[in-house]
Amino acid sequence: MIETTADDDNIVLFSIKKSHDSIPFCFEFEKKCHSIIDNHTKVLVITSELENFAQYCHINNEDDCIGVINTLIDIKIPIIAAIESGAKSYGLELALACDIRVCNKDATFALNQISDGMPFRGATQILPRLIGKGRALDMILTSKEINATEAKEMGLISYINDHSAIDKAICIARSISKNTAPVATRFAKESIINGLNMTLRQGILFESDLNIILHSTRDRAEGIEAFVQRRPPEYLGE
Amino acid sequence: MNMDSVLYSSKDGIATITLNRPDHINAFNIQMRDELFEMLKLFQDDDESSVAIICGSGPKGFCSGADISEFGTAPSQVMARSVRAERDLWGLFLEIDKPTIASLHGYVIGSGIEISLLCDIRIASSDASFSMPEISLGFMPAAAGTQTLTRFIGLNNTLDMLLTRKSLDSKTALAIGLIDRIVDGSDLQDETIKLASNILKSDQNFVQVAKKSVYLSEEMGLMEGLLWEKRMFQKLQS
Repeated sequence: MIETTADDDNIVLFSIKKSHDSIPFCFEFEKKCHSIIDNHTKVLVITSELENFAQYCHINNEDDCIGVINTLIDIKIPIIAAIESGAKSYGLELALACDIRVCNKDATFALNQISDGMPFRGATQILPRLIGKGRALDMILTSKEINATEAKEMGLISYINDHSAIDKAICIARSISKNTAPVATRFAKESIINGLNMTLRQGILFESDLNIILHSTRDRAEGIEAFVQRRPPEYLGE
Repeated sequence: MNMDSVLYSSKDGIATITLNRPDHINAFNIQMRDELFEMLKLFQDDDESSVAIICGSGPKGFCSGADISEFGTAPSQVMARSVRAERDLWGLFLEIDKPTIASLHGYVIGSGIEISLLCDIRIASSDASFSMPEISLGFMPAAAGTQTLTRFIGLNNTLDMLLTRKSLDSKTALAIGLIDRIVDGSDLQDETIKLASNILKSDQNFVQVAKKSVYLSEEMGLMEGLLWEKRMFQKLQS
């Protein structure tokens, strides 16, 4: 089950709860993404009370589960995963499709699918891009479990918080929501993520194109005016 | 045009290109962009120089990013189009066969980081600080940063740096691969020259082909890359 809340800073929080619902997790997740995130949403934070971050859904057509990952990848705003106890297998793959991962100091991570299958919701593609080919192969082929410190050192997660991952995640989300221009943020994310699929030369021109489009935004003029006048900017997302 | 915001000098086979607006912590403006373009071309054609050092003048820093007072008004679409076509400074960096070294001190912000990532080796003083504040000002990196950062520090660290605008010290920058070497501030100039002289000791044909091969490794499939490497080695040996 997924509880959702939206606050005044336009941060949407998805809390994944333990449940014995008959609706498959992935169907519910996708539905909530489409119905709750709108043009005003600035940051999505995903947290979970499940030990493995997300629940594997036993449904007949496993292709449907990949839909969740594709849905997350298509979301243009920053997504933060707050991992309290750990992220394993499908749960880790879900977290990998987020932009910033925050975890509790006791969290552990692993991909355990190789004993009777393989990861098929993005890990073989996203993990090497995050931690490099050698470490990705090690995790996927040996199912090795890594702790929070190791995960941070290898670039799998961005922040460790001693007490609660969600507090840190909300703090980062608030800072993004209050201080950054929404269109520029979405364009920067698009340029970073899509640029990795291009040659460097193509990527540089792609970035240049996005910059030229960004010139026309009101927020760009506001950001610079606020900087010159030494006051906080007020962005409208236009 | 009065050429003084970027200086060029050459000694013992080493060219030094200096960003020279020390009163503005070498903030990158339109004149600097145009002059840097000319100086890079000069280095490319300079048969006396085999290695270039790019550094910033004044005690405060290498470069404090784009000069807000000049980039504050968006260029017309016509101007933006012609710059994209005729002043592809960032593309020019990639076309240079000879090695380039960025020598970094103090503030290395926004386009300062981006320029250093278009060089081959980054050496920094222990007191340098690094940040990418663009999206909080309503724009986004425009000197290839969204493309080069992911290739140096990975997707995780790139999204984190851009979305949270956090500032890194030299030690952290070294740990994540944003820079390659740290030296004491007072030794920076000497150590940079030592590094350049060291490269000069090698056969420059091999140096240039090795550089090109490493860059091409990101653009080619592994088999194609291995074939290229072998062919170039055989060609140079004969």
